[in-house]
Amino acid sequence: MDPQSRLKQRETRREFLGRSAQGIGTMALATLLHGTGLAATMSSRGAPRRVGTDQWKGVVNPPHVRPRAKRIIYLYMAGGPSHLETFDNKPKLVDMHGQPMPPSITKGQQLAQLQGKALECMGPQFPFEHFGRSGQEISTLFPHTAQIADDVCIVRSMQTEQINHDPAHTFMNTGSMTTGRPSMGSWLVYGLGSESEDLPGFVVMTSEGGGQAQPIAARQWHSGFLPGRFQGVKFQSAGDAVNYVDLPDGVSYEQQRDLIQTIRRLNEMKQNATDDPEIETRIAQYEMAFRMQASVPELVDLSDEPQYIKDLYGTAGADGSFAANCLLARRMAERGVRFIQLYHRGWDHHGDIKEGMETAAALVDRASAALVLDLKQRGMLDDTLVIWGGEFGRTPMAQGSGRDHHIKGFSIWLAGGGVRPGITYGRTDDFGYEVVENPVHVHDLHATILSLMGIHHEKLTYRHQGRDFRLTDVHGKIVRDILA
Amino acid sequence: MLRKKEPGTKRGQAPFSEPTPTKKGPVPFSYLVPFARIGLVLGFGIVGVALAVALRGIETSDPPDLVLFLGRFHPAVVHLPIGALLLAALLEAAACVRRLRDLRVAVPFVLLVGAVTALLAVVAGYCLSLGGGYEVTLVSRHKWLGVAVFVLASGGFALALAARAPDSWRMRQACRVVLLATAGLVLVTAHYGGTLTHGPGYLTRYLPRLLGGAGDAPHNNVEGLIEDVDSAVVFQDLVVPVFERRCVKCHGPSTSKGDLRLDGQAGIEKGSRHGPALVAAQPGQSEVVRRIALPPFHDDAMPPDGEAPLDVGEIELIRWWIAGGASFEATVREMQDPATSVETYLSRVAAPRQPQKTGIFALQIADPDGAAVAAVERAGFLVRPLTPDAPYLEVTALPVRADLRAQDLAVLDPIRDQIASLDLSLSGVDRLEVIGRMAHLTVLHLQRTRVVDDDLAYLSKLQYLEYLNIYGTNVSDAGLEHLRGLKSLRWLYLWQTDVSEEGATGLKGRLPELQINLGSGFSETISEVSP
Repeated sequence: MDPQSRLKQRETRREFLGRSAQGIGTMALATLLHGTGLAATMSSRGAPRRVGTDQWKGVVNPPHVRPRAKRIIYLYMAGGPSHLETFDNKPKLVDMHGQPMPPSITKGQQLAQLQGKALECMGPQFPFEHFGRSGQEISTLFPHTAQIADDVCIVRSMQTEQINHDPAHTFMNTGSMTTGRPSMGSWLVYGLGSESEDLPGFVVMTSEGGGQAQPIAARQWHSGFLPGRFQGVKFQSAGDAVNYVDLPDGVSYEQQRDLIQTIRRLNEMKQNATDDPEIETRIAQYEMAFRMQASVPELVDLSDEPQYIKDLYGTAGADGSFAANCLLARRMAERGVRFIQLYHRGWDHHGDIKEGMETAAALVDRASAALVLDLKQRGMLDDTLVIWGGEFGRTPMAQGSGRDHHIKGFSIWLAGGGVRPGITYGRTDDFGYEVVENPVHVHDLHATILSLMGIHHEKLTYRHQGRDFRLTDVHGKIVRDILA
Repeated sequence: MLRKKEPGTKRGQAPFSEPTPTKKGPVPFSYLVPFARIGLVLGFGIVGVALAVALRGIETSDPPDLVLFLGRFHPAVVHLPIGALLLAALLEAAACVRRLRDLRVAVPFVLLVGAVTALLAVVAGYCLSLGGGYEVTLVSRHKWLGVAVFVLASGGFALALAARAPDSWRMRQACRVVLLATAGLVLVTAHYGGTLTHGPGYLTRYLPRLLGGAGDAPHNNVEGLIEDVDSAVVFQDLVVPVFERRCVKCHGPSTSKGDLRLDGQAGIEKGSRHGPALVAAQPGQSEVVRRIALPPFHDDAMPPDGEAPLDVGEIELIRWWIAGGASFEATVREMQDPATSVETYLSRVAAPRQPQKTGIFALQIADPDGAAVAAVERAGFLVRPLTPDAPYLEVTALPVRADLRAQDLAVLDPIRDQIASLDLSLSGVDRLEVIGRMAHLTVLHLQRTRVVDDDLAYLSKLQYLEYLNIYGTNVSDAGLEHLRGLKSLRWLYLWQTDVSEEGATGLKGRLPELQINLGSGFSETISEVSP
């Protein structure tokens, strides 16, 4: 039950009168029993209600459908990686390179920075090859991803609705372009809880490199109108993962625990008086922060990782790189974190796309593939869903030496967690402009992700401002063709 | 006798009271009076029939508005003769009881009301029928039965008047016979009228089985569910039931308002007198879509007159069918992908899919004991149902795995039949007796535990085990021997163990469908295949 209706239920007229009557009755009884000593043993007030720190079990229990994945690692390629240089081969564009884009395709369409400019086709900057037993077509710019071709499902028909970075991120994360809705990770932790008592259920890390690094606002992992305890927690990829996670000098662990417990008791008194979900959140967060003082240093300490694992990812560790984040993501997954989101900010290639893609791919390709391989050999790819993709794609039209934002068709890949491996789903036209087969809207992706986690997207709702909200709002179709 | 109780009748002849004999003895020709009255009333009937015949002239042409306007009064007027004539019969019957015999005096008046309103109803009904849209034979029968009711009622009235004379026992008997016949005829006529308005079978739809009904008429407008919705023919299996439920009453075989029939392909292709019912692939141009999608208060909205509009799913279904070309043969599978509202409708009419239950899901297992589950949770395990509709549980030791030892597993024993997925990874467990008793285990995580070769012997009876993860343990080829009988095993993780390539190959020889993972890394050369 959501906190608002719980509060309503607690504060009904019947409850109020009932409690008042109890109080009057108790006073009357106390008067009668006065002097007998009996009153002293009676209390008009029961034990304080247990609140807060019990492990959140989620509202979807039992699951709506049999879950295929228990956790998600979302490799979020912020900036909008070009689908034409990654997973969507367009030989026609090679032939058309430098020629004007046919107006029949672009006429009246929304463009970002190319609006009103002459539109010229730009061929793929890197050759494509078929890889793996499945023969998946992948750009040679991604030689390591090519080696997991048989493990990934490439979706070439993604569609979004927002053509600028921030609203597109918001749309991809929350299913709405306007801010204030809960992000996907918050919905999942609200629905399923977390397996970890010592780490947050929803962790975010960022890295950058490869192009202009557009900012990522913290509201991309906000819990919106869900209670604050379901918000994503951002770990820093270099230095202390969490600021001030170490005990201050001269404070012992026991002292810290006493302090936390006292604060908790005070918060519980307030909670009993007001039933404010944010106090519950505060209690939970104090406890979580206290436990993280032990769990976070253990998490980020890579000394127990053998050198060949570090080499697999291509990182020495704790250097703020995407590769280091991938390694940490695997460690978080092993420790029960439900939703891990790694942003790599470096794909906004309005100019110099060839060089930019080379740099960004070098930073991301190996680690992404290594993560899948590592999960696989640990037997975790079966119940971990890995998603690789950005907020949109890029135009088949040149913007000088780069490409502009493109929302009508772009590519992502998914691996593990009940997704059918080794297939390519959906198709764009010969220019890579418009989806012509099996479109997958962002809402459809959300519906599919929730379904893999055992949640039916139409059933996970939260009442706010007088109506029930859900991640997919009134949209979303589960893409059953890509389920294993 | 009434006469004695009501001396006041002397002052004036109340029209329907028994005539007060003015003088004693026979009046000349007085025996003719009843016949004269009968003749008078028969005149009513002749006038009515003449009117009907006169109106015939306008039957072929487009009837004038006045006629159509009068016709609309038929439903309002028609219930008056029904009530009055049945009441007359009831009064006559009740008057047979001695204490109620005074009621007899009202019979002629009630009959007159019945006869006059019957005439009005016949005339209005005839006007209504000129508007067209009704099945011809049904209308014809209803019409002539209505005329017959009027004639009988008039005759009955005359007889009732005549029967007021003393010693008119035979008249009384005749009157009774006519009244009985009138009442019967009223019922039959009314039934035909009802059939015209509500469609055939309306009355007997929910006839209980006890009384000879089929007893299986669907309730709440839910039609029989479709077994395989994908191969259902969109028109016949989905659209037709909607039309039959909501439209055919007025646009069907018994009534076809506007000359439109929606009860089959022929009628839909023919369209109405105003134009085609629909334009294939153009739902926006299709009259039927426009009508059903209008708000109910709109004059053109269908169904009309405050009837509940079609629900969103029904409207979208018809729109989807027309948008897809209004084919009479296409199946759901062959149509363009439906909108969400159509999908919702499809799932509403589809029989719930009964998935083939296999493995542990084919077994009948009791629900887990709540107290036992609570004890497991108190011990620090996470317990979740595996699926929404089976008693099986997924148990994870993750929060307490650092301190978990083999003896702590005893708490799982009471729910051993229900545990289908167990994660003890990174814990200190070794001896696995308790696990060996979990007969329905399908997924078992033992990676990075203290498990050694001999412990795997406990697992050799787990016939449903599909997934076993023992990477990072000291298991060797010898341990794999215990797994040779696990026919269900599909995934085995052996990275960072002492198992050799040969050992793994040997096991795979016994279990051909098994996928064994001994670890993975990047290869130096990229393997390419030609398309």
